Amino acid sequence: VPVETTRLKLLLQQRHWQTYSAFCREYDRVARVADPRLVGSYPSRAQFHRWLSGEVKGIPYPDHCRVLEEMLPGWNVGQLFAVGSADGTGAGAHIPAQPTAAISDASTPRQPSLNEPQRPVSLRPHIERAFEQAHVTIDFAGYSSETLHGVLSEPLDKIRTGRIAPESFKIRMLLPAPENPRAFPIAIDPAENPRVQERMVGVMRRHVEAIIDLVTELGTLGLVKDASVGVKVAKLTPLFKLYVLNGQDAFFSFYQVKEHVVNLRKKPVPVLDAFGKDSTLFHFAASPQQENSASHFIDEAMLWFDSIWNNVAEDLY
Amino acid sequence: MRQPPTVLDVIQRTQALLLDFDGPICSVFSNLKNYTAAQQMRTVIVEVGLPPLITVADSEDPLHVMREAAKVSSPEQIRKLDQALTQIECNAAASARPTRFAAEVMESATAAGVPIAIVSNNSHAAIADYLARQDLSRMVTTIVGRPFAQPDLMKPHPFSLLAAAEMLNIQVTQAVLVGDSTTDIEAANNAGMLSIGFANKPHKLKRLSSAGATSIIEGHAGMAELAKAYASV
Repeated sequence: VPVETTRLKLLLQQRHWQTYSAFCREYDRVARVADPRLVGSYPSRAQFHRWLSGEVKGIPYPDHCRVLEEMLPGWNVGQLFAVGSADGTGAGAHIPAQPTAAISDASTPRQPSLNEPQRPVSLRPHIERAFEQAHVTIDFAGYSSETLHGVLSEPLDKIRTGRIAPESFKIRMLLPAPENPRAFPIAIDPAENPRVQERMVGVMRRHVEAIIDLVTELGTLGLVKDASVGVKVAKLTPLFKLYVLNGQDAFFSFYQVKEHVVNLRKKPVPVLDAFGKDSTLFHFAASPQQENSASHFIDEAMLWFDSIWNNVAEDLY
Repeated sequence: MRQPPTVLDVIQRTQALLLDFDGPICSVFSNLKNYTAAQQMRTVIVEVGLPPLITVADSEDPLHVMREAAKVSSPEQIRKLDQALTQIECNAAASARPTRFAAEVMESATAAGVPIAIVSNNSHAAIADYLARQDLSRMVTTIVGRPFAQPDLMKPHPFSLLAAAEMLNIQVTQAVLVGDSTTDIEAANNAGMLSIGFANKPHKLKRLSSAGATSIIEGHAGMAELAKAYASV
């Protein structure tokens, strides 16, 4: 017989906050930011267990609701206390497994209906959550380090100004080899191609070096005890972009090749190039409770990454 | 001649709102404060071991001083300049004056389910402090501040806009940037993004439109119009 449980319990388990002490710690951490007056206002141990089992009548106090909704962005209290069964049947199972990006990004009062097309999940809350862990790893494979540099700029700013302080931060970047012929980018006019290649490699190196400088500095300043960047290149043309955050969250997108114009020494040159910024990142979140297709995807993605990294990729520097 | 798109047209074509900080959200450096801050940066230039620079002797913009000084600085000096500027900005942001109807714009966009990002040449720390103090952080998905120690990646370089689009997981062509300077409009055009020029002073109207802004709003009334447009979608 499936055990009745609230969605709140499942979400807390996913985040490893299901024990009373872990829950209270997280509750206070969120309350400190949301409204310092609410620090310490967490429920009693007995009430906490009633919350998890679904024995609550009605909705908790407004203060509790506020903090819970902050702790689990995208979910409203009604959804959190909906009762379903742990095996995925029952009332709770009709609630989507992930909140939509539209509501997780901003605390909108509007809840989208289940039939509405879902906006792609944004990367930001996942990056933020990854950097709240003591040990942060980011594995990135792609065509250019520019988007990665952009994505890292906010968390690195926060570490530099002491807003967050992970103990370790390890990043691996797998990029195309500079000297290797590539399917793209490629100039439409072959005469222009060497300069197009030179430009692409220049952009890549520039952002790789910026990331190395930023991360190394955090280590030198003692802001992160163990900070490291590994950069390897392989003789291939990346056809997709992959981020794996702490081995638990993956974001993946296909590059589309399109014609556009770049300016080389102020002269417009038409090229065929990968446009990562025009494609959607798919999100895969591993669930520690049960194997699902997302966990399989992440496992396979890591196996793929390591196989290239360990066998055919070479250090860029 | 074809009419330029209205603000409503622009926001109906986009799914995310990018806001510049100094201007559309508040006035960090205004008038006197601006000159004082530039003056402080000139002192910092000498402190980090650079000669006084003739190019910034009369500058009233601390960001301009930073950018010019960076051209003749070592990486170590650039880091020191950036840190000093960040400190100056944090102090200035503490007394920044909110732009009228900025909160309304953010609230109506949020209510419409439109995610908001801040993309600015100011430092992340100054922006984050200000938003927290004004209780606006809850409506902002991501803040992309000045790329630390990389002044050449400041707007008009599209770097921060692309970073915000990646963080929001949205195509660049589906976002709009609201900014009050020509560098904002250029950055949007460089990224392939739509833009709304915020002419908070009459003389900016012409400049923003010749820089290629998709649409223009004027003064407080323009910000109110933008808030209303988001409330209607």
